[in-house]
Amino acid sequence: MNLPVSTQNHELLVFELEGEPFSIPVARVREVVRPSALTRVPGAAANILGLASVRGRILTTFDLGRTLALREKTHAESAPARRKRLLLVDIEGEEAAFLVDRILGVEKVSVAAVDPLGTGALTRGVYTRFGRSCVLLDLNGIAKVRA
Amino acid sequence: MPGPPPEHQAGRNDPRNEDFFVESVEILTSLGAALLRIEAAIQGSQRIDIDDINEVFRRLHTLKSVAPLLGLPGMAGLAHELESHLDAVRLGRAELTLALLDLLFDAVAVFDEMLAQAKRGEPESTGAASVVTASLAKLSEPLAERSVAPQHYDLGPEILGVLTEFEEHRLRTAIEAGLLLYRVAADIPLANIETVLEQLRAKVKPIGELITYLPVGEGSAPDAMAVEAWVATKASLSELQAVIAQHGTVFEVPKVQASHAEPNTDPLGSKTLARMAPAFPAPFQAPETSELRRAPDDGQAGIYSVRVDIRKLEELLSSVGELLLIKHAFALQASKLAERDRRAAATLREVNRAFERELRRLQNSVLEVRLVSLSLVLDSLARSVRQISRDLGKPTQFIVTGAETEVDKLIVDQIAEPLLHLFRNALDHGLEAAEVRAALGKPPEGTLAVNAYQAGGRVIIEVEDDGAGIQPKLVRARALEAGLITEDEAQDFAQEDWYALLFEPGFSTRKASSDLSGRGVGLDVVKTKIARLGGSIEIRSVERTGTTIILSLPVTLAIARVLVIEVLGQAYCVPLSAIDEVAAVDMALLRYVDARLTLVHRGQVLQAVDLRQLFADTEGPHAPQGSGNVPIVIARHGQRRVAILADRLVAQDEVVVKPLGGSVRSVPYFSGAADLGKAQLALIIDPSALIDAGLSANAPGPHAQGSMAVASLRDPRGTS
Repeated sequence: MNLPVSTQNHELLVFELEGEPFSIPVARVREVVRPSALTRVPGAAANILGLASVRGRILTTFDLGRTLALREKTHAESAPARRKRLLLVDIEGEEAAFLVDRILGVEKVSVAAVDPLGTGALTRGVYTRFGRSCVLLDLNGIAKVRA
Repeated sequence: MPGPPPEHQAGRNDPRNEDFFVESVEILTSLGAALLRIEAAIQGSQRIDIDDINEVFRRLHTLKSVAPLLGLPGMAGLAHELESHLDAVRLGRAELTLALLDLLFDAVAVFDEMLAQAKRGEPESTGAASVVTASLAKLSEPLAERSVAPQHYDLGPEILGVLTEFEEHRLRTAIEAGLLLYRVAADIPLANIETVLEQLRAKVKPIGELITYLPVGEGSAPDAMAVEAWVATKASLSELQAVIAQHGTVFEVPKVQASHAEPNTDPLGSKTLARMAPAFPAPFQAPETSELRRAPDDGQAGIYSVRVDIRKLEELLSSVGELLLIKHAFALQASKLAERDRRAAATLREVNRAFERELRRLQNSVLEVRLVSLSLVLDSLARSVRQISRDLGKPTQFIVTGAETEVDKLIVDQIAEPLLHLFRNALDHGLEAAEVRAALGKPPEGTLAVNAYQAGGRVIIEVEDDGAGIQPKLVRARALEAGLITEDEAQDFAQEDWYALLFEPGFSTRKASSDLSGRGVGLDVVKTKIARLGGSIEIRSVERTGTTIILSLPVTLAIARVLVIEVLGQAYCVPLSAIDEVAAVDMALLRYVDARLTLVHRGQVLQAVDLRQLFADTEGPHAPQGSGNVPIVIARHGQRRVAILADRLVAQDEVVVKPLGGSVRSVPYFSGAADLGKAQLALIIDPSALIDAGLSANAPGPHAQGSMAVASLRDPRGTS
């Protein structure tokens, strides 16, 4: 992509989780892929769905919905499976995967439009998107959050 | 949004400098190893190997050139001073005294610290370096040049004239030491003249020294050269000829009347430590095995080697793994094609087989590249041992056997810390003070021996001391004090159970070290580290005689032969190297004894772990499930065995082991994951963690006071 980099705008990838929109900076996303079967890890933290294999790389896959307390337990059928995607994101130098319900798109949001939130280990702010509030996420802290 | 790119800092943080750092560390390691060999020679009243002195000289020289690149002019300065001194030593103009040797050891420590500082990005501080420089200046001035012509031999100016100062010095000291001089005439092909001369040098070395060689004309063949080599040795002409064999013909060099010759008047009591004549144990003595070995690389080999980031090898290996998966896909297509075109399918299969063969070769090559000799870590640890023994005032002989054993680079990198821990324990808590040893009739100098060897896909490292050994009654007292066991439980403890206690986290307190003459400080840390590398640790000890700690490690972390098993519909791998036996047993033979799942198998009571319970989503107690025959895998970790129950045994496979990500790494049961193909991932089970788990996780209720009390000590999640 050859979009101009501007300090005035966030460039965000927006996705849906349990019917709600969330976004993360595009620069943090390495890749978006279709999920393959996940391998469950017995004894792992509850917000870890399992391991995904992406072209030979083994990635820890997090249950973002559970981490953000959007639901109690993972339902495999929370959205049509064919729309689900894995976001591959760099978390503290290591690649990790996040299962999301569907990708809504990439968009620019003015820095001024984002209302910074003081609270929340994983949130950086909220902005209004088509009349609904969309949470801007910072996924760096995910490994430390025990759902 | 991302701000401006992070400032690129030239200089110390430049990633290109990483290579120089690595190189400097290697230089210091070889330097230290050579110094230790020199010290050993001095202490054993043996002649110092001139090659070791040359090695020190060369390493200092390289360090001098690398240091400025790292922004360390002070380091370069000290290296230069030392280099000049060593040059004087190798030319016989200065003596290598113990004082100078100590100074060299100090310098290596100073260099180490300076490198560490530079690595942290701190500016160079030259305080410690100038202390060494000042001490160096106080050492005796270099001796005046001795221009004594070699006596006893009538060497004409045509010979002496072509010798370098170093060679002349070697020749002189060899003759002074009473060695005989021989001429070796050889015809050497021009194409590999260096190699042949090196071989010749190596052959002569055990019994003497090749002083120099001179080209003397054209050889018998058009592409050969006639070379005359001068050899100084104690051996007779026929002995030397036997050593040199087909390399050349030996001639005697006529001796002058030796009436006034008084070679080497003071063989052992001399104040001069550095008798520069070659180290010749005795003619034809087999090379010693229990010595610090010279690192194979000494600069000349440098041009054939490349330094590669191990992560790149990891990627390469990963690609090979991917290619193997693609190969499976080809095979599948070939069988589909067979329905339509049998001949084409057969050809495709043939091509696929050739493809697989090449891939296997590629895979093996990449794996071999990862293997490095253990000397890489043992050489630098030898210096630490020397330092610790000095600090503690316990003279220690450090003997290494099998340092050339090859192990995966990642393991070598990870093993230094646990080994150092074991060495320190052995010296601090194992070896007695010299007076105590004397009273016990032991030699005043303690021995710390490291013995490494390969045994069936694993590398064994034994760390042995001849110290006080572990005293069970002290372990017992400490364990009771720390509340690790109760008096009742202690009744049933066998020898190995006491040793096992030493690895308990609760055991490793400072307090323990003061009243224990055995060991036990931080051994739990060592155990955890070794287990993460897929290794096991075992203790053997005899009171008053010594302790041996045996580490067993996989040769490589990258590839493992595994047994694939199925549990609750998911595949897992168990490393074959940890498997003792695979069997099917009747569920009726499984029962809970004292809150632990056990299995009677071949007349033995085995601890068992039912993975179908351990890996189940639901928590809480379970009774043994099912009936009839279930497959079990009996795994071993050190001396302990565990029977693993699975739903199904699937197949044996060779897999590329991949590390787990940070958040999953803390799960105790798994050491990695492997791609089984068809997008199927399998976790690799760490049997040692299951042994721990089996002791408590299967319990159907709160622990009863079991007779085997170890059960209450362990928590499967708490050990990490």
